[in-house]
Amino acid sequence: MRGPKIRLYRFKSIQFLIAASFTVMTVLVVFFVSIVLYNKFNRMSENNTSLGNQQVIYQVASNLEYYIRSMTAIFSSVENQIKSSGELPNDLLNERLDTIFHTREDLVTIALFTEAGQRMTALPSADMRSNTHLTSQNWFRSAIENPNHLSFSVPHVQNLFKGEYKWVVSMSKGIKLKTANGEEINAVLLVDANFKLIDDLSRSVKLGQKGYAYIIDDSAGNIIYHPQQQLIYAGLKYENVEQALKYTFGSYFDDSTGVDRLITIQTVNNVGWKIVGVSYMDEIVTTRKEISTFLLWLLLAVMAFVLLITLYMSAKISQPIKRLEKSMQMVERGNFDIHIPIRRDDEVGRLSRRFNLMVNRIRELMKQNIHEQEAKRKSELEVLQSQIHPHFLYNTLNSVVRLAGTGKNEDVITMITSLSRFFRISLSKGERFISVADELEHIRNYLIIQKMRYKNKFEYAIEAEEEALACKTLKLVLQPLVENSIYHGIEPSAEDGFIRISAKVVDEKLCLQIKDNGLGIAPDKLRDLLTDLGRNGEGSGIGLRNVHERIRLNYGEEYGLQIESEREEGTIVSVWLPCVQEGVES
Amino acid sequence: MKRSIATLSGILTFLLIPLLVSCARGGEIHPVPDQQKEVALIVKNKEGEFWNTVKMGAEAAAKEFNVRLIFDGATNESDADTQIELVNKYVAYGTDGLILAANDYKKLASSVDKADKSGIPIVTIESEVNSPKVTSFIGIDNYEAGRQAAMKMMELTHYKGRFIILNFVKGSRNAEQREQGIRDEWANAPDMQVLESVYCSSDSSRCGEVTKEMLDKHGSIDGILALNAVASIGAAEQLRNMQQDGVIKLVAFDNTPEELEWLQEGVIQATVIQNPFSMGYLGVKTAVEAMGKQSVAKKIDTGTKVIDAENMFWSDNQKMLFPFVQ
Repeated sequence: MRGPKIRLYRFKSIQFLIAASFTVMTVLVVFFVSIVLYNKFNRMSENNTSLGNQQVIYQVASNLEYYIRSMTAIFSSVENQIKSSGELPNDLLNERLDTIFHTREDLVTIALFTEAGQRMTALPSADMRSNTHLTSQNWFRSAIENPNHLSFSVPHVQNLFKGEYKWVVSMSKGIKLKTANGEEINAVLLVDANFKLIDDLSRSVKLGQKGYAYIIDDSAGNIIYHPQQQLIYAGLKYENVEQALKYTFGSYFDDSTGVDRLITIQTVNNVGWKIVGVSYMDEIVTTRKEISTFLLWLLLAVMAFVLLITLYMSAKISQPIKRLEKSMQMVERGNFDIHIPIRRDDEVGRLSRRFNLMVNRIRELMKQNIHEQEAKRKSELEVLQSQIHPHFLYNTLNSVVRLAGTGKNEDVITMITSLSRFFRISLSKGERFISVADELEHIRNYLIIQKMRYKNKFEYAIEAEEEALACKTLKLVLQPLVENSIYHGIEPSAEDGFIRISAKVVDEKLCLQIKDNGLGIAPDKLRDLLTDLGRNGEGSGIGLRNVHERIRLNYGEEYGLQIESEREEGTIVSVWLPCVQEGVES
Repeated sequence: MKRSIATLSGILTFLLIPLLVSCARGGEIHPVPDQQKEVALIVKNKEGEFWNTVKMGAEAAAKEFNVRLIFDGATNESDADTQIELVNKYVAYGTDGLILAANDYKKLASSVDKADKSGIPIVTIESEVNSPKVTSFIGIDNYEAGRQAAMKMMELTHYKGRFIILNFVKGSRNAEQREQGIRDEWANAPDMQVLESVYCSSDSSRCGEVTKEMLDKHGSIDGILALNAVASIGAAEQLRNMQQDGVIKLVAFDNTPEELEWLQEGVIQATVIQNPFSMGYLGVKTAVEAMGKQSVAKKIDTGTKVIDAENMFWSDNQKMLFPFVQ
């Protein structure tokens, strides 16, 4: 079918070559750029995440530090209140502590114990539980072991007072109190805080969708706070605390839980805690995926765009070439009347101009060729034409000699006069065209001569329409025809001959007619008379054909001779010529 | 031609720049809110403390795995009919996963089969259901738990004494297994004598009454084994009221806040704890995994531990006993 052929043609075209190479090149470039960009974005997003996390965690750390400072301040204020209040229990002190206790929702306990674990004053005011093992609790022990040093405990359940069991962080300090009798006793001041504010702080951390932050104890790696603390406690979740303990600040990648995570660490001053930020790498991967999808679309868009552009461009480039090709095809088929419009002065424009020049040159050469051919034919004919005269002259002069011999002077005069007129018209100043009147005069003189030569074997008549007389004709067209009539029609006939010559205008064409009553022409001979086939026969046809060809060469194919003939009845030869009026050049 | 290449690449660059800029702006993380799946947790007694801790675990898992949790259940641990209704209801609603703590080993089997036919994975926690269609069971070895309680009681009473077993629901598989564990453990200890085994359902005041009846009936006894939280609380209250606390040893089950107070006060000498938070968490986690067509373990043991007043505030035990609330 046509399909593959067209495709083959398309594949071979310049347009395709340009479009394909352009597209491939651009796509390669864009692809390369995409890969470079993708890697760059990747590194950037990782760096950004890491930097962003560090900032967030740093912020949380400073918030937490601020919180710790405020708790320390509360602790100091409680301590000062107690130290300045003198004897215990003391109603005024209780009132003041109660005010502090109730202004903060994160305070769970404010309590003062003796070295032996005896309650001196306490908020809430609920009863103490039994079996508290108070003196063996960590916060109590560290207060006794490091007096005058504020220590923070790890989270534990506060079991001192009846009511709810609460998870708290204990602040404790061993202090010295003066009793009323001036004695100094050691006491332990305890302030418990719940995780409300720490939780709020931690919740405000946004590390991507799934990221979170937790707090560990710097020394032992105990988890102080975790958003999923209960899961950690129940052993359902695990944090790689050991690794985190090695860092004071900074970030690293961790896959100990089976997922890639970015860990960011910041130490909280004063309290010895560390904030550990966790963000998930697969979220960065999501960004990565988004980037790659985007780049893919970009690639497609660029491809489509480039394809359109190159199609347009290549069409623009190859179209003039195609036009040139089409014009060349037309020239190939013989149409030389072509001129390619030149639109731009580029390579193709110049090529088109050269092509136009070339076609013009060919056209000129062809015209010249035709002209030369025509001239050649004409000169040939003129030679033929000139051949007529010696032959006729010879015959006529023979007749004149014979007439002179027999002493018919009258006839000699008539013959010579006619001959003289005959030649005058023949020459007619070298003109090729003469009027019909002159042509008829010419033939009349010819007939006079021939009639005398043939001893009145035939009669003749010449008649012409007024209109026809004014027309111009190629000269000496009738003489060869009349000669034929006499030689081949009248002469062999036993009867007296009669030749009628007429000139008329039929359908705006000039018609000269020679009608004789001679032998006529055999039909098979008649058929070939005007064609090339007749040339091989006896010389008889030469005159007819010469006239025919002369007319056709001068006036065109539609003019020429027309012969009708019947055996024993005679022949009519019609000469068809254009009716050209005198003074008008053909 | 060369000029047009240059022009073209120029155009392309100009085309690229705004696109890249727009990428940089819009390239932040867009969370895709996928269809949130739904998991229904049906417990034995939706008002019970133990089940509250289970709920906490389930909620933690629901948050972590991004599913919607529906918490429902009967109000009485002997009420199997309500549970059957609930299971059928949630199956009909087209919930994506079911977690069931069955009140009856046998009665809920057909409902479980129905859920399985609807293609809903069904995870049982704490109590088993007599159906092979159960996706996974998460809980403790109740027989082993019974044996641990029995051993602790032997230790407390120096291998000699008269005891009553305060059980909860007759026909409960857990109850039967725990009791069987006790009896088997004591089979070789002729001095450990079980006077009677009584059922007091899921009402702690009823359990207190039963305790009093038993004490009245049998005179002096050495210890009570209370096989679930409600029975433990009822017995502890009754002992405190009768000022028999500490005299009659009480080995309890579970770690509700009330029990923990009795433990610290010395009314309850020891308690066998399961891990209700883990049950809830693992229940949801397993259901989510099963919904995601992952293969899950047929049975997950959450483990038991015997806690007494001495070790209850040990750091590790605190973490297990007291739910962490901010």
